[in-house]
Amino acid sequence: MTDRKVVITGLGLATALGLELEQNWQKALAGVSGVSKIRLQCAGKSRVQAAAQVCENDYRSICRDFPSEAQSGGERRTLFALWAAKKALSDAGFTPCGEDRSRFGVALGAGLGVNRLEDIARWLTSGKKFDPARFASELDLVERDSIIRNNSSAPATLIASKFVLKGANFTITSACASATLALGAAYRAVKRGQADVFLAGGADSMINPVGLVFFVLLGSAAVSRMDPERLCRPFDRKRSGLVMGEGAGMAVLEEEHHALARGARIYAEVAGFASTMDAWRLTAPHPEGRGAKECMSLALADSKIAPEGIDYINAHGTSTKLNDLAETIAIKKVFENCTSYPAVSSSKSLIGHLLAGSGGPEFAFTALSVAQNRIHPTINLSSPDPKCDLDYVPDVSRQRVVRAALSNSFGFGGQNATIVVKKYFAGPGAR
Amino acid sequence: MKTAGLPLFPVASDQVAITGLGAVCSLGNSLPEIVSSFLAGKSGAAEITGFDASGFGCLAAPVKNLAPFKTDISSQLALTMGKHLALLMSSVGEALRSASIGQGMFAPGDCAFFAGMGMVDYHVEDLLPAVVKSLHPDAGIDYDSFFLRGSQEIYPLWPLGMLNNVAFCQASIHFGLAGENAVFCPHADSGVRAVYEAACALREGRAKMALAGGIGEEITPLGLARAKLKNLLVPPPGNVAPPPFLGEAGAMLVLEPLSTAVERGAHIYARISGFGFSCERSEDGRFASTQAISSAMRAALSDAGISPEDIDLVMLATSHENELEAVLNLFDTGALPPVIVAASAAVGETLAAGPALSCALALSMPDRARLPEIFLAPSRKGASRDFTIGRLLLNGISCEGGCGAMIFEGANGP
Repeated sequence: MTDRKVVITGLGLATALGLELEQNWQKALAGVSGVSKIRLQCAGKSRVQAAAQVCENDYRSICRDFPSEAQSGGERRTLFALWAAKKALSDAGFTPCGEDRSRFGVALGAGLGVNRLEDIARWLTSGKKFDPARFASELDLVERDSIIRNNSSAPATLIASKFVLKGANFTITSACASATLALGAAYRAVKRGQADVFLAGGADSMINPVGLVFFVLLGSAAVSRMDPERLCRPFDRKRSGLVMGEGAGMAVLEEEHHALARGARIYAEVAGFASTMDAWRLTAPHPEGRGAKECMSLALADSKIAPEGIDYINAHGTSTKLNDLAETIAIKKVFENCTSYPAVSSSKSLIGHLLAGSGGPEFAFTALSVAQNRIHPTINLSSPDPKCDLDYVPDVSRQRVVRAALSNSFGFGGQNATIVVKKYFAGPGAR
Repeated sequence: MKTAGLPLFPVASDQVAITGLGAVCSLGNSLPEIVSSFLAGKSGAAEITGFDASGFGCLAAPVKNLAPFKTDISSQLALTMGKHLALLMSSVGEALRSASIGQGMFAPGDCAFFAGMGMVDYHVEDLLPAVVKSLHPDAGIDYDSFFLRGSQEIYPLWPLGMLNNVAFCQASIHFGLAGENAVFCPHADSGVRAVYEAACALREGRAKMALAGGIGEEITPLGLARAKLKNLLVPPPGNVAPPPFLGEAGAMLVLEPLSTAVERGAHIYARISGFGFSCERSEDGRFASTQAISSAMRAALSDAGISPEDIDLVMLATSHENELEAVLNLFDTGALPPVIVAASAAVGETLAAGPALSCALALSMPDRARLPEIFLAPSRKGASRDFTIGRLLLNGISCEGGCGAMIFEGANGP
């Protein structure tokens, strides 16, 4: 690897807390929950009744901004990704279409498409069998937001097309680790000189009928009838499972001198990254957090920052018993020789679990923590699980110096990713 | 696109060797079978028999008679995960065997794993009982019925089959791969990205062995529908080649630092010498632009420090005219142009599996093989010649604009 530095010059978000970065950040610091009763009209009998949805007015704003994409596809994941990409580029000071962008890449973590039951029901025979021949001859009737029309890679390539980003372009589909893996691969691509700028992050939405039963079938969804705003409670004894969110988070990762030459504002520096695999069970993390521990340790080694140098961890923090405990154990092992553990908080308590996209907004919050020395709280942590005994910044934000921070993402199946963000100090050669 | 930047790899870093190959596709369930069928000029294209595909009006190239594999998951879960898992297990297994890598030879954390994975689709029969229980008396779906009754007809672990990283994770568990990893998706460019990331992990010292490659898509009504809607099955203009068809496939490469591979006496199939990437859609939005394809290839050549004249063999990713045009423009060098092979004419559009499959096929061919004319690019018909693999360039192109190119030097090359 070269000694090129990679800095964060732009951030863009679309979450249940809003469409503007500052709005998201202030609400996160204030501990505002984005979780509400599901608006999807057809979901009345769904066992899952709450999610962190992008509010209707915000969604309409996005559709107005990208009318042809809203009209032709209407897939929420793609629209969120386009919005966050646009905001991140603008935040970084780039115009929608400007300079030569042959060395600008796009890396996106993207989730499942939308599985529409109508795509089966419409082509049933009178004997209730699926008629593939008739289906084949009527493909124009396939639902416009259906997975059949929309590849996972569609958002990333659409972003490239919309903003004329002609460098490397890839989509990672590694469940909940996807966005952080995308950010990590983008960081390395800029660091080794494959690109000068990467727009990276994640986007997802599974708030649709099949998506709502997805995690119920797997036994990991929060189905309690508790007040929606109090439903997502990572590390709390009363937690009952993951609460879905939707949206996108994108970051502009830029080579330091490229950023300085154009006078860009720098939030922070990306200092390291690692990925590991549990190689344990498909349906559960390693109970001792083996893969997660290794991942954080390797990311620290990559960043050349000792554990004592880490002041904050944006946890994966899903509000599931298995993850919360395994992650806590892993953090304790990584930092066992430190005089105190770093502060830990879970963005999912605020914006829900954006699944494949979750690492996007969480990276943005991590970068802001490093830049502003403020840590958003883990909300709803009123009766901590005794086995989860770290400092999770319960309910109230905290001001403290954050020299460097980790952002963790652990995917279903056992894929782990950790990215390290640290304060930026201009090095020799910086103007 | 890399035109004026640093090399994709630091110049002084270690070289990466390919020491193992594994593949499965419609031409056979192991590389020797595939190579033999390919050189005999056979095509895997056939009528689709698994369901009534008459409405699609196309052929397909399915993988048949795949041997069962051992796994510690239930047979129902394995079935739910479909052919993705079977193709992955088969190609990883063969690649490790061909590299003579046994269990315990590398620590799990030293084994990186990167794959391009095609889209996973539900099997209609997995959701059909739920749909039938949820039908609205007039038309469409009654979602109250779906949530109350229909959803209970779905196998609880069905969601695992819908995550296209799950087969990948199961293979990691089975083969003990716990190092760096990622799943890219879903077209041929993702297969190139997987090899690139694996090569970087080795060069930059984060792994001692890496598996990289890709798995295509299963031939299902939904997969065929997507291919049609994405214009993947449109015949090239002027009928210069047969219409494209989808092909099932999986292919994996074992990568190791050249120095340690030599040290342990591994067979070296090739060295990896360059990569290039770009992205741009053509004006009609239906494929990568000719310019983007050309840029990726030029970047790979620059990364490898060689010229178009140095390439002996080009493996096309697709049968699309934009790719052929970009290749012919770049390699219109007079002297002795490279042989241009369109493996998709034999195995179909294998998407994420394509790059590793092309690589495995090319590197497994016997010395001085004579390639069948029917698999040569249209304008290269009649140009067949006995050849020995020297330098190989192969593409991975997405209909959505993503382009990747990589260059290998065969063990018998310069």
